[in-house]
Amino acid sequence: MSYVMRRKGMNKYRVPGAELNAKNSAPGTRNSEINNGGTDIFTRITVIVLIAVTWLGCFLVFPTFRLWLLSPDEIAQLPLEDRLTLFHQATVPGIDLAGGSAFTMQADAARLTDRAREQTLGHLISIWRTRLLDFGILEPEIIQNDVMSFQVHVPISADTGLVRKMLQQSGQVTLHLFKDGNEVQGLRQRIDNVLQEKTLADTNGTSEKSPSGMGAFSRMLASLTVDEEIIDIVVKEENLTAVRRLLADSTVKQSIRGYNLANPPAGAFTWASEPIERNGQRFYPLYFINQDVDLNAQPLSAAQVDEASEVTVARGAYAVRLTLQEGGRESLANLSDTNTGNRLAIKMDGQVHMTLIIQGRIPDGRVELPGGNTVDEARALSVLLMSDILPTPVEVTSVEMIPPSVQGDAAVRNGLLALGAGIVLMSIFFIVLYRATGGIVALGFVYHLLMTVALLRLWILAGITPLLTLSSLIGILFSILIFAIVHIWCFEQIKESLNENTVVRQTVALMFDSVQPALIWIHVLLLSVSIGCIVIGSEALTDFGLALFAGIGSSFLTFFVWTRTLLSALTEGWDLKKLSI
Amino acid sequence: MEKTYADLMDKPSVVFGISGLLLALGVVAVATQGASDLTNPLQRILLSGELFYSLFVAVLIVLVIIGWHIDDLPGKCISLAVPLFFGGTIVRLLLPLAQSGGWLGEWNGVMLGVTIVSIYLAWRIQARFALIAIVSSLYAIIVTSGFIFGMVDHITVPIVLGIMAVGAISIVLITLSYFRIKALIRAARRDAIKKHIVMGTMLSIRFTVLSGGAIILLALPFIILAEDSFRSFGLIFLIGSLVSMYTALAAPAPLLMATSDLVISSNPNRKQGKRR
Repeated sequence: MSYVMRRKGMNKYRVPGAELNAKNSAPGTRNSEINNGGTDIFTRITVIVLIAVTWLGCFLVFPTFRLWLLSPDEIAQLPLEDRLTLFHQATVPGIDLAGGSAFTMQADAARLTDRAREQTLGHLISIWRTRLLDFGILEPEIIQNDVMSFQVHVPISADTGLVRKMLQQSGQVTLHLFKDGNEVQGLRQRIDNVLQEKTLADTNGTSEKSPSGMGAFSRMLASLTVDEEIIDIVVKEENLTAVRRLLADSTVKQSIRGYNLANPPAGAFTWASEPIERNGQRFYPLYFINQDVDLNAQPLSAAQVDEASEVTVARGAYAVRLTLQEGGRESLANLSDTNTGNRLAIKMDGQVHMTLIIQGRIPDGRVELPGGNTVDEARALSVLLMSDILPTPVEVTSVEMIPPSVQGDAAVRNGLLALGAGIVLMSIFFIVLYRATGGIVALGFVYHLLMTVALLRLWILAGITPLLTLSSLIGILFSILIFAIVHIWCFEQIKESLNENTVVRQTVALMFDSVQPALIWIHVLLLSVSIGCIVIGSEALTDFGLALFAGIGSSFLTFFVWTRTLLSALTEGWDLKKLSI
Repeated sequence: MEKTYADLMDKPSVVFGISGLLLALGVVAVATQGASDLTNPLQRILLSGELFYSLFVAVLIVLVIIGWHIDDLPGKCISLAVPLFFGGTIVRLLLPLAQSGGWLGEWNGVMLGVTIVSIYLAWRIQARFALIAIVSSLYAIIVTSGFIFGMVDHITVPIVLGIMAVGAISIVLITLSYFRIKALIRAARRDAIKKHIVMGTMLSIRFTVLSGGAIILLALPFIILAEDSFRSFGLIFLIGSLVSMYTALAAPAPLLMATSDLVISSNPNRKQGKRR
């Protein structure tokens, strides 16, 4: 049995009524005249929609094209604020296409056993990854160079200062009570005495000159009203190195240890995280607080970024409000209850970030930290505090720029050249196959790419930042192919219909109507799959899903807004007798 | 060309033989890949289960959309897909437990079991068109993987995503052919389904071949001009276009077997397009 039939013999399988409708509304008939009024308005509206969508698309793609057209040197020369704004607005290429920054890290895990080290370093990598991803730095690559050395690669858009902070800082927040002011004076006196004795011993016994002398320590300290009209000890910038050296001196350390034994609980000198500027001069606050932790802030139930309140406004426009978990909340309530009127220091990474006077019981477990002058700084701090504490000290030893991972810039250039050549070949294919109508699709490829980039920008506006990576490129290539396939499917059917019907306008309109459901459902299917990838996946799969969504959405838009509008406008507006297809 | 194609459809054993051979080659090539051939990000994406799970979800989406619009079984397809989705999600949620307990092999077995059960249930509810589209797409993925894995040094995430895209192209080509078959069925409801399937596919041959040609035209410059990962994209789409074309044209063979017992309702009161 053979199913071969001549094409004309297949007519009975066409959608019934198509020809009848076409004949009924042929030009010159009453129906046609009535329809013309409606279609004219419809065509005008669709043309207006086309212009509006195109204008909106051009507006949305501008930052992305600006970024892609700038060379790395030109990007580096932009002022920091402009650069960050551009990175926030544009679809940024990923490490594989544009390179990025490489942080070399050294972890201090030498004292651990092999098994403990393996576990610790695995945990460390997991914390880094969580912090960077939570902050919105997509696809960080973490490579272990040797036992304790790592490289972390981040895309070009990442703020290296904040990344360094997130990689290096432990994120541990502890609360310490201040030691009494009289005790501090006593300790100062004791240190001065010790230094004086040491100077005498040096003068008598050895030729080596000590930098200290009578009241050496106190002489290098100053007093300043820092917080809440309380006079604190500060150190002038020129004395900073000397004071640090003194505090690291074994004799001074021994003296502090002795003092602590006699006056429990033990105290420790701790520097503030930031200096203070007064009259053009920098001062570094030095606090004497309880050495042991009075309260551990972590684990937190929330670290919310907000505008700074009166308490922290002097330290930046933003603040991070910490909410302690149930246990911490009770401990803070008890601590504040029993130490009303005392001063509390909030310490992180060995530095005091905030001091406050306890006014009374703090029942809600909320503490505020200064978050810096930008939202990103505050967000970085919030991410840092919400993540696990680094299990071992880490130091960033170097930061350098790295080239794209796909064998350098030339490979990327050639890849983009190949993409351009492929689109040109497909355009020629459409023009050869479908003549002038194919020309609309040839231009449609450009429109499709424009709309894809515009839809990617919409993701950014929605708060999801897609990176342009190799995975995204696969999604875009696939959407270009779907765009071509749906046009071939549609044009083939128009061509077949035109072989049977000579009335161009009605045939084109009817064929568009008949292919519409299939095309809508194909696009819905692919859009659903792309949403699945975005929701389920991470990193590369998310990039693929985001680009696929943009590409398929663009294919849908281009088919209905570009191709259909132009073809309808041409066939209806010009009343073509023959369609070049 | 149409005569050759019709003859082939008359002898499905030839189609099944060729398809079986390609599938066997594909399975062997995929099975012989060592873990060292997979890059770290790919290993991570595989071990996290997100790749298989998203593939599973995509299969359910295809089942619902094609089952709804081509098989005319919206209720059955949705009521099958929803519990399957929850079942698959529970298996997915068990993955961290499997990883920590060292039962990754067992987990993969369960996930494969869920997929096989899904396919079997789709068959039981008679969502034939949807089922064959899904199987054809998985077939295209395995065969393309077989060819590609033999050609590249390392298997990366973009390469795997490219192969998945080939599976999606197969689905699109097959589904668009289905819509033509569906139009034919609606136009002449009393004719045998078998006749509509062959006719619909024959009407789509030119479209399928032209689509394959367009894919090849996009892929060729990548093979000639580009290097590294970009060249592999060209290879994937070049081989994928051929496999997709073959899959789209060979899909009616199992469909004919699956629909041999299918009759169209002659009840004039039934809504047009409803088929039992």
